[in-house]
Amino acid sequence: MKVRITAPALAVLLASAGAQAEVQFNGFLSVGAGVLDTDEAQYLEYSDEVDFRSDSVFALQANAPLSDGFSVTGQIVARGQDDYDAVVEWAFLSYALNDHWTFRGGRLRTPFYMYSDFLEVGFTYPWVRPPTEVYRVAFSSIDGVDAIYSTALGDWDLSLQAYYGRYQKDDLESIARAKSDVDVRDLTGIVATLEHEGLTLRASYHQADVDQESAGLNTLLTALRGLPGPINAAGRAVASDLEVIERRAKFYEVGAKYDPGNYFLVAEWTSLDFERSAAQDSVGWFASGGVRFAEKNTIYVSYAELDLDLEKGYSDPLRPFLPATAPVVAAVDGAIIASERDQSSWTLGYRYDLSDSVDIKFEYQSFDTKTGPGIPTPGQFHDVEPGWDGEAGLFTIAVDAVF
Amino acid sequence: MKAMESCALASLLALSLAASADTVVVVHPSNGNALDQAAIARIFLGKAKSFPDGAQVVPINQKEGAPAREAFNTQYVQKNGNQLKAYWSQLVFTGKGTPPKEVDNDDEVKKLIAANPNMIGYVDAAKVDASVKVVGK
Repeated sequence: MKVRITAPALAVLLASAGAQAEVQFNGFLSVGAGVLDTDEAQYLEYSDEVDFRSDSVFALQANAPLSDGFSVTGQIVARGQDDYDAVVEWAFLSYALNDHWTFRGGRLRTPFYMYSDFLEVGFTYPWVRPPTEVYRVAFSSIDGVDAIYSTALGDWDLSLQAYYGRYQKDDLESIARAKSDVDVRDLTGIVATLEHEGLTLRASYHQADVDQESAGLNTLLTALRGLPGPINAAGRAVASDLEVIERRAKFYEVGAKYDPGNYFLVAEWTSLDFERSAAQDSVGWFASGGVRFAEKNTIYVSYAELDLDLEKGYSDPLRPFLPATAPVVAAVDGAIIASERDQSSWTLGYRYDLSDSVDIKFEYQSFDTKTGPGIPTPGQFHDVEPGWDGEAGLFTIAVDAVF
Repeated sequence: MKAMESCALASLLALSLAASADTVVVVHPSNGNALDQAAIARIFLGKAKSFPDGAQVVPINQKEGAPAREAFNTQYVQKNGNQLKAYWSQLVFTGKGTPPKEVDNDDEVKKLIAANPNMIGYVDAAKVDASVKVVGK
């Protein structure tokens, strides 16, 4: 962010009106280490042994202003959890028509959430990571186009963004480390943001037609379609009810943030609704607040919750022919029950600003993945042992820098 | 002796505080726009891209550590260095904005502004001369 230029050089640059302006390089880095207090489940890459992968990321960005309102931006991100394999998260051509309208095309960040745009820039938010109960969509970029309109309404700033694009990936890993092949077509959405001094209000709507295939579901669908004789038709009906092909997904989000400087409050609510299929609906929300004192210190507390809303009756067409204990009926019911992944967490943390561009954070997060007293679900955990009580604590230390 | 020293130190400190509190916002002498604190903050946060009269505005920052910069951020932008870095990171890493250009000191600010009616900057009040005009006071 600090490209030093001398005054004469700057004058020349500005005078030439960006005909051949300078390329600006920026970057950010986070190094995080964490450990879980249980050996019966894992969260992200965290287990009961200290791990550095989940919250470590390095990114470099280049921005080249061209002439006549055009600019090119590229960002390459290397994440610890991917062995620091570099991927292009942003690569777009931007055209500023005037002070109000900007058009972009290429690889863009999907603006699902209030913190989407700087999801991995730890320095820009108080926590080690945005709560995964809310920030749960497994992809964060699309290939597509968008238009941004921004204007001042008195003392308020309004920004409207509309986008269209597509996301495709094989072996996409969910937060709970489940793999599937996804094709998210006709992904489109609109985002409205209002800002006034320290207050930010945001609402967005997104929709897409989703194909999602996993090995487990494919095996089940094949078994259903291969059922013999009189129950073949029923099996096929169940299979087409379950398959996630051309299913409309809708995502609603509202968020509010108030940050006058010496304290902050932020809350965000999201709802992901799938057309009937094996993919289930969920609501995720969080609220967080913190105080800043003596310039460099922030203490914060957050609560986050993920609630699944499971549909019923998927195995009904089979029931006239088969008992509930029949393996194929149990497999269908089991596939839906496995989607029950309710989770909540409390986070208490402390951030200390080491300099104007470096911070260190200490965070303790207490997870509860029970749907009711004594009924644990895996939540967003994976490699869960059968006897796990559904509770876990995670201690993380992270250092963030921007440059 | 000790008392005198600390006294001198105190007045020196007071002097430098007074000096840094007297940071003023300057534009080209031909620039007739009136700007209040909020309007100046909007320009330096990249939210306003033109002067009230419609002319394009180009804000000039001073580099980190320059005395006028901290005073200006506190007085006009009303954010500390860390908050500003976080704010600009949010815009930079989305390609939505770039922070104002930075120069080394008051003299460079004046030199640039004297040559360009679209520019706005800030300098120590004691450095103001006929090459620039004070606004927002």
